[in-house]
Amino acid sequence: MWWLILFFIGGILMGNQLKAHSTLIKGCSIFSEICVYCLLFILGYLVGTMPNIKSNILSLGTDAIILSLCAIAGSILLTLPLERYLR
Amino acid sequence: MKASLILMGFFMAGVSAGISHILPPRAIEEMEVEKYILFLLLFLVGIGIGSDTETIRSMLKMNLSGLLIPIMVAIGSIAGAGMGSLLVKIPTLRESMAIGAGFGYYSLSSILIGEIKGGKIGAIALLANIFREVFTIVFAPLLCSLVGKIAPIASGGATTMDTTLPVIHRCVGTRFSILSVLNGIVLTLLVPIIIPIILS
Repeated sequence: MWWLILFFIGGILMGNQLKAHSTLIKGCSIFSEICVYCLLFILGYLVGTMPNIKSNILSLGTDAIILSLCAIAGSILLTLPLERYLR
Repeated sequence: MKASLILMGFFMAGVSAGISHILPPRAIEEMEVEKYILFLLLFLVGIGIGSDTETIRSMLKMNLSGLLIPIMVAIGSIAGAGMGSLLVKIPTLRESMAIGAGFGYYSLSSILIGEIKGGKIGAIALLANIFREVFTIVFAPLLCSLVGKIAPIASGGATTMDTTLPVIHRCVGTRFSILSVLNGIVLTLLVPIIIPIILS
């Protein structure tokens, strides 16, 4: 799992060295978008091959909405004191 | 919004391929191709950030008050989603906290979580973080008038530097828009670091 962080930090260091090569950076950006499309397709495929996925889809969606609302509420609550400080 | 629909389209195409068994059974799982694509993706995302001198310069210039918002948003989001684990059926405490640590950066967070914890949790992460972006776009003006100018920035998480910035800018003004961009930059950088740490 730490490899993920190392690859990310390695990319930042490499990007800093390559910043003058704008065509290469643009190519990297397009290629990373293609990677995201491929990975989301694979993620969808893995979900689709799960047994009983059709009956579970509603439960997945409900869990997602609950967790999202809790995360949003937590963020807003903790930043409330900053409203006065940063005014 | 168009970008979200395209990404969702690829996910749904994958789900359809999985349900209809178009590909040979267990073909993708056995090849573990997604692991190598993920390493490559993180490396490329890193290159994008490292080559962006403006981003690095604004990070270096940032003072404590600029950092306070993303720190509080990160802690609140992870803690809030952790508490939310008591209300949901599938994700455990750690999985819920990792979903909260996606901060709305749905593409990368769902892929990371899916790779580490499996497709089902990855799918919940994708839906939860897409919902966060849509919620912010729809409710930013309401949050701004009911709670305050930082509330839509807190709600948007990592998306406040790009997709939700126009709607946030309209209701919070220029000064808070700068804080919104800084908030997005810091949270975007944190996503690939915090999620593997939470799930390790």
